[in-house]
Amino acid sequence: MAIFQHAYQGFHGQISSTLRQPWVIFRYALADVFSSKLFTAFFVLCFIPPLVMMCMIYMNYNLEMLSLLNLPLDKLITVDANFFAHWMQIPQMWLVFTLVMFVGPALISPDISNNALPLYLSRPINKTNYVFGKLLVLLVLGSLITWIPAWLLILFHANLGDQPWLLNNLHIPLASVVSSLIWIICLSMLSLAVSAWVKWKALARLFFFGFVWLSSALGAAIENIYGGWKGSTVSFIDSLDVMVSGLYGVTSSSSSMPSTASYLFFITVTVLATVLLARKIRAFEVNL
Amino acid sequence: MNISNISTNSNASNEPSVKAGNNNAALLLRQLGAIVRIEINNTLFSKRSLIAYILTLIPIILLLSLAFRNGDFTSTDFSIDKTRRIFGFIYSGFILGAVVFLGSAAIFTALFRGEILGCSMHYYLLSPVRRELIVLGKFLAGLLSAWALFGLTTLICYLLLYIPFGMTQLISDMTASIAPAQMFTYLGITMLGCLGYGSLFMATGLIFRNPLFPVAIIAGWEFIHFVLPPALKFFSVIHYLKGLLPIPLNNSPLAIVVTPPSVLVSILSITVLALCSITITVLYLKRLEIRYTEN
Amino acid sequence: MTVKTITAGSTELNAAHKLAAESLPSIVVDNVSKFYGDVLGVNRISFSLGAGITGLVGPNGAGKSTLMNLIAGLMRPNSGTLKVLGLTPAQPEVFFRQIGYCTQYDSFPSGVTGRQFIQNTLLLHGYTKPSAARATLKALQQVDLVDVADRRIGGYSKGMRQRIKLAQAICHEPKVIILDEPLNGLDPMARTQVIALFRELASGGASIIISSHILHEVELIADHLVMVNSGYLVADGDASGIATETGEPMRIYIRSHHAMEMAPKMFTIEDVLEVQIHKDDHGLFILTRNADKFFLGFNTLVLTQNWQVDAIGPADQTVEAIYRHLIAGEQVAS
Repeated sequence: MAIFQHAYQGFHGQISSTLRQPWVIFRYALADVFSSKLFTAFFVLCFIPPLVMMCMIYMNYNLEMLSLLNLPLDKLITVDANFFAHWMQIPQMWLVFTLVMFVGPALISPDISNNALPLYLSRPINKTNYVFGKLLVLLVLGSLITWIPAWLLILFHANLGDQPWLLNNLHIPLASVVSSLIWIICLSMLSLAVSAWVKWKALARLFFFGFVWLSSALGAAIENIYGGWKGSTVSFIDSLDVMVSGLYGVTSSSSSMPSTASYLFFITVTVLATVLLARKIRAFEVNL
Repeated sequence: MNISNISTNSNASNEPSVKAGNNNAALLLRQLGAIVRIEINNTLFSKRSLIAYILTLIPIILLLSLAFRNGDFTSTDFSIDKTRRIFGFIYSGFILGAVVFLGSAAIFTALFRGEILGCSMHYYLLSPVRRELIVLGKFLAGLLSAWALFGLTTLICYLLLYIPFGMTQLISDMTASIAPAQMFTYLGITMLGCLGYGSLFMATGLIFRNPLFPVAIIAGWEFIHFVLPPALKFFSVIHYLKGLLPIPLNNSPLAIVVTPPSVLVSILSITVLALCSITITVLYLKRLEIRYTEN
Repeated sequence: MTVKTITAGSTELNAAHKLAAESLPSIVVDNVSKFYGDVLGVNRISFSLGAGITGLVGPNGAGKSTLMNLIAGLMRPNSGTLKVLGLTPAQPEVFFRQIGYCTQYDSFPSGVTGRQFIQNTLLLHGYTKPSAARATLKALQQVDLVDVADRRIGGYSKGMRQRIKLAQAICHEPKVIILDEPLNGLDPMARTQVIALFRELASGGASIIISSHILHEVELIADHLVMVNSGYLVADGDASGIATETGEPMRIYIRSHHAMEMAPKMFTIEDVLEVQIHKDDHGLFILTRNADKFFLGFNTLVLTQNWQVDAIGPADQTVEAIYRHLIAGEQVAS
């Protein structure tokens, strides 16, 4: 009898469901991300702006403190959709950009350059689950610094201010979630695509940065030629401002482009990135 | 005791004769030529050159779209002067600010970092070539490639301006030396840009394990150069390049305006920057040890 | 002594070269230490090597690759000095002409074919194009890769990649060749060919250092052994000399028609512990504490008794025994 028949036994235990597979990828990737002290420090710093906002909101409703600090009562900030869109959402969105630039390109490229994809995909993990597991890292981290603190601030403000405020402004929390998710998913898919196509994470980060920089410079150049808002249709900076402003129901400060065009821009980038990613994530690579 | 000069009959015919302290110029030139050839192949004819070609094509497509916009060439607001002005904006904001900048970052960063990340740097370091020569060869290859790609883009883009105005206008401007003067000024700025940014990115590509940070910092610095106080503007490459533009552009309302440096000062400053960056690269490469595990 | 005046003329030159190689060490490592931050690479290592094949043996993480990188000039020691043919890497244009290094890294410049890879190396050495083409062909023939020379290295098998690295290390006919695990990934036929190539290069006067985990292959190839463990030099010398020094008894096999006659007389030689007769009565297994003394004594006996000896050699794996004694034993103890 051959030796393997003595020693080898297949796994007879219960196999976890397909739905739980991305969580394995997610757990390991998250642990890897937080192994960098620089990233951990950056991530902690991302919570400082929401904390400052919270203090501002608190002071706005604390007349005693304002008088103690000798601050003029007529120059109080107005906590409204504009405040949440331009003071909270957009700055946090650029922190997400930095976060994705730091984390995203390092998620897939090491697996490809170290030939680890065949190892992943030879296990009961398909490529959708693999990508979703990686995406989940960016989705969770991005959410933690955008819409989750925004919701806390909204609840905090609703609690301090007039009671019907939240009911009258229900579109604000909704805008926060939708705009955050659109931005996070679009940037994440783009960074994962770059990560898959550029073998080395250091250069992948550079390419991701270059792509966003180039799109904005190209937008400005198109604007010089055609005038109007045509240039904004390829610019990340303008599209973000237009999308957030549109969802919050405030006026965009950078472009007169309609919100629909900005959604179209983000959808196009996401779809293209997904197609590129799908072409590259495979179990084997013949390099001739 | 020295046995380095022992040579066997078998290799005497092939091996280049080199004695310590007596490098002959022909050998150095052959080695330099070999490095330049290898690196130009890597920069222009490999997978990694794709990004440089894409960057080269974008402004050409953009200028083609300008040339054929709406076919409204007879309108009074569509004059050659206005088109030249639009080109000035496109050149300064997009070709120089994005294509030359990012293209130089892509080409020059990869010269050393690409080799280190690909674990093939040791082949260079094991060759009997002085490290100064490796730096010089790689830099020359990067520079020639960047000049070829982005110089050509600049020339093509400038000539595309004339599509709506026809050959008559082109010939008239060429003979009146308006077009050649402007075209070669733009070309010169592109070449200077490649020299300045290229040398900088070659150095940062070797020194920094993650080249994103220096590139992002330099990009940010160049982006805000117009609001920098005069003393700090002198540390910005774009300050010298924009001062050379043949058509002065309107400054931003936030800009701190200073007298643009003269052509000579600009050329000298960027050359000095390049020499400093190359020197730093040489010094760093001389200390470089191969430990790919750090990647 | 100086050998600067040696002139061409193949017989004279080879003799002089051999003399020089025998009397002058090609590689001198003097009290060399290398640390990676707080981590020890190698510590206070000294040895010198001449022409021939040297096996560098030690467990994973012992410091073999660090030592090779130091000798090849890819790293600088924190203290101590290293010289190869009297040269240091501070003179790269002369130093690297004398050295060929097949590293452990399985990586190549991207997109090149085997031929381009070798040819580029030679062009970097300053060869003219025609002479580079000739030398490339010769190197490719030596490693039997001519047929696939124009295919991209990315498509090569592990064994082919190993052989093209070897060709790159020897293409410029260096006098010192350093090979880090050169037999990895080679099939048995290729191993035999490559080992024959090493012997040919060594007989041409080259100094070759080979690191390997496969101890019986080291034993087959190497004339000299350098053993390192945990960054320290453990042993340096020829296998039997080291074995004698370790005090580890050595088993020697003698093949002769006089085996039965020889057996009782073996005990007259000092340090012989045991004698066994082969089952066909034509062979002897001798267990001795000192191989050198045994060979000396045995030679005298052979001459005085007029015995005919068909074969004589170590009966067990000497290098493996030394390794077990010096390294594995120490690891178990620690």
